[in-house]
Amino acid sequence: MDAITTEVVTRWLAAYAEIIAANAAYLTDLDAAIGDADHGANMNRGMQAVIAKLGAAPSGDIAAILKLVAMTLISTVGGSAGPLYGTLFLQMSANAKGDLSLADWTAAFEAGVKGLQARGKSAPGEKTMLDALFPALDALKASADLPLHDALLKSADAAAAGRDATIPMLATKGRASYLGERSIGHQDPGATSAALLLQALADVTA
Amino acid sequence: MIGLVIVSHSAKIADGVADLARGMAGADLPVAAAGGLDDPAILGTDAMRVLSAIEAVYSADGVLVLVDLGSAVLSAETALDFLSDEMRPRVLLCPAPLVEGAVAAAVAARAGQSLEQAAAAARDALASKGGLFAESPAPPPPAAPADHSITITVPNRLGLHARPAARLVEIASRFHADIHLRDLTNGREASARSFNALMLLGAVGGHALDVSSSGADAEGALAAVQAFAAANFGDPPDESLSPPITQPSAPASVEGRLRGLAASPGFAIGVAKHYGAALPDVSAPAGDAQAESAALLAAVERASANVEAQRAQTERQPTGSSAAGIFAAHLAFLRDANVRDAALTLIDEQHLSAAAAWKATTDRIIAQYQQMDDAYLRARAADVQALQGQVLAELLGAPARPTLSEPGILIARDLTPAEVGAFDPALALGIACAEGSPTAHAAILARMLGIPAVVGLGADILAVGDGAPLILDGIAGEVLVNPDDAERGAYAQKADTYRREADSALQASAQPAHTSDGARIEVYANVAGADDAARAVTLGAEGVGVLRTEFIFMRRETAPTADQQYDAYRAVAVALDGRPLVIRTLDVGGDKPLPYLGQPHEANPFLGLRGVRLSLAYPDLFRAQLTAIARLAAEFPVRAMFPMIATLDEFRAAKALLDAARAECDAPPIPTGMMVEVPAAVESAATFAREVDFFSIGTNDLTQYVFAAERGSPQVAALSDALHPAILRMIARVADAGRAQGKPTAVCGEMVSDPAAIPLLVGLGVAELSMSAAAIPQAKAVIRQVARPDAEALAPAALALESAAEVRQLVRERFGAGQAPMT
Repeated sequence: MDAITTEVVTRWLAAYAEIIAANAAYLTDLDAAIGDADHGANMNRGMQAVIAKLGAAPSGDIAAILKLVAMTLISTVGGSAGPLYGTLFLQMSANAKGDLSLADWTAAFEAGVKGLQARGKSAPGEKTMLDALFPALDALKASADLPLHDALLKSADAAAAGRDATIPMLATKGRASYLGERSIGHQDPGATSAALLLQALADVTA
Repeated sequence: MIGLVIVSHSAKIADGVADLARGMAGADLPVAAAGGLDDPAILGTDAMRVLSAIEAVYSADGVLVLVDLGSAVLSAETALDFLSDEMRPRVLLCPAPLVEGAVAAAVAARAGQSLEQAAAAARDALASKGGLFAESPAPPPPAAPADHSITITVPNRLGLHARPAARLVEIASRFHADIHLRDLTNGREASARSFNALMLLGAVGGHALDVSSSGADAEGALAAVQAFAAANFGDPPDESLSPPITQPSAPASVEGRLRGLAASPGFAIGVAKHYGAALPDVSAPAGDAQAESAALLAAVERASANVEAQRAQTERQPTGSSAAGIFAAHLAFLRDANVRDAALTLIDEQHLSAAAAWKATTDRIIAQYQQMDDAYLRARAADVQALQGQVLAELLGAPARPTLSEPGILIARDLTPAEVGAFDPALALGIACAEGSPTAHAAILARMLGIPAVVGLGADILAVGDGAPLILDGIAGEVLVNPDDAERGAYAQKADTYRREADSALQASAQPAHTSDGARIEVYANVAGADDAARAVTLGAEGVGVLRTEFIFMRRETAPTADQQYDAYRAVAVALDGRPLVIRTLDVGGDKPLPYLGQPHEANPFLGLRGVRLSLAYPDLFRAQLTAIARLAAEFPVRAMFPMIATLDEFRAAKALLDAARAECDAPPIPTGMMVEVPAAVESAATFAREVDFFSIGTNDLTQYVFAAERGSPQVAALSDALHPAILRMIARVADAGRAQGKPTAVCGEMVSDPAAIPLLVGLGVAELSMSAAAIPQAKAVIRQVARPDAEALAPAALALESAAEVRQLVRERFGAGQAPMT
């Protein structure tokens, strides 16, 4: 496989919805420690809505699908993850044309992550989704010469490592920042769901 | 005006904050709530909702978006991304506290401030709250909280005149916190608890008021004052700030022709009747201070009771609720503790009699009013003078004013509203006063009664001899003494033209009323005789919904015969000229015993032998009335209606007597209905609906019986509000029960005169309204503005509310713009 097709994207989203459903309680537990204990439920509701909408309107190119995901998450997640993931997908949509080569995907993903960063007014190291997404982006860029699946695996691994790195971080953004020092020692639920997103993509391109 | 969008994780919070903002700035403030998700069970924010909300309230003035926590900011920012390039620069997200910010922004919006100014006001909104808490020292006792204050601009032209001042006192009484007003324009100050001080504040349209408050609920108190200001101080919109009416000073009079100020339009040609009364002498020596104090308090109390009674009476009369508002202002004055305490202090410290103390106190207030810059406020001196006289009359007795026995043009130094209110327009052809003001309440009442009046004629008018021929021109503000034939002829023609023009103004009311979507609503009058009926027709009545037949039974030594009743009812039918006439059979009880019946004394006549119960207990009396009705039915479109029906047996017994009377005079079938005013009848409406031909809901009595609260009793009168959902639900049940059997339901009672009631009644499926004649033109105007689908959406929402106040609020929100002014 050397390109991300409509069919791949559809399977990716289905897989992500499954992983989120399976990990909803886990994500919520993580969020309960440092947030408002709704990240798992919110993401699960959002992704279930995405799957329902995709089922109802299956046609369309990758850009259209990613936009549909964005709009759905914006309206159904409810918490901050809604506009944040929504922006990620919306910017990816705006930068996706036809099937995506590794380079195309890297460019679209970069646009999405940058958009999300702007929306959240955040930077890596603040115990957020970005701590999984930026390492994943860096890994993708470093893997430009690798086959697509290998590159996506590297980005998923980097996201997971980034997720783990959030544990000792001090939260300065979002609800977790209210906890101050007490946020240290807890894994960030946003980084966790972000790592799962990249894991799901790697899985469906195997 | 800028728009506001309230973003919250909770739809309830967003809606509630939007309500608060509207409460501050009026129902027409463009504010939209964007709270929660589609699933109401889940807390969260939805950028698409925010987007729709922004678009809903967008105008070129811009939109300020206020947000609660976390994702609300992100969702709002996301929404901005989706806005058109044209809109985006005029939409601001504001890092203000949601509740305080929304309220501050709403006020700024209402004040016409720019988007940036409103954003700044919203951001700073916590500062005043911070001041409230920052200084408070630790444990008990808490120090008095710092002052809270707002600045408002007096919104209405006349400012804090009597009615708004009375309302403000009432508003202030709901809070523990003191409310203090300082007029920044003239420097005067007043406590909002003192009606009199508020009146003397001289706060007229455009003045800036600093309103400060301290106490636990100070913020709420200020919010209430602000909301009141946003509501134009309760004045209709045409009373809002506009150039003051210039009032020409009365020019000098000329020979035979006295010039004054036009106070009530129209012409009167007749003879002079002096209508004078002097203040009683207050020079009698004072007794014991305690006794004098007690006497004063009792006299003020009795005067208050009289005003209260007049207010109740006026409410029932065609002059409507505006006049009642004037009496409410008088009550506020009499209940003003500042005035009372000043008089009591004079008794204690200067050993004055109750009468002398009251006169001295009120004289001082009168003088204060007379020194006011504002003409309207100067005219309030007459109100205080009237109340001065009324209390003195209670203390000392007063020379009674003559009663009118024949038509004439009344001449007086000045008249009190109570005196004018008691005039019969058929006898009081015109009013000519030496003093007074066109804006005095007495003049307002004269206008409402349609009695032409000229005031400020000077002492010359008092010198006119009793019985002298006069022509009064209430338009030019002139009185002609001993006019010659040419003048008589000219004025007779002017009067005729005036009448014809007034008639054409009424023609709109002569047309049937349809809702804006074309549903016909029949509008009838409640009358008590042929004169009433004729007047009702001129005002647009399509018939008589309730003929109160009591008029022919009262004030006589023997029962009226069937012939006498027939003649009386026939006169009404003739006045109606073929329009339908619903004759309600005798509705009296032990509170107004008929001398020829010898009714037993009852401890509680309102729950005793009254209405149809009494008629059935005195079958001869009843038969005579039914015979008269049956005879009339052979010639005119007459319907019969029984009052106070509680059980089906009563209705059947009354109907059987009517049928018997009908058979005797060979009359056609008579549509026969019942008043629904006993709660039991509401419960059994479905049963009754099978046998009656129509229902007429008497909301006055029904409300009293449902709330167990007599309207005449000031302590409980407030309970009896026919707009309470409890009553509305009962109306709905009766109308539904009637509809199921194809029987129409009418509503008669004071509530129908309330414009707010009309959309509700239309929405509940009531297609016939019966009201006092004077209310008909306005009611028809309101009906024409109501769209039935809107009314039908309104009704169920109103039924689900908790209070009459909420119902009124809802009607205001939904129909506010379309509402004819409620004065």
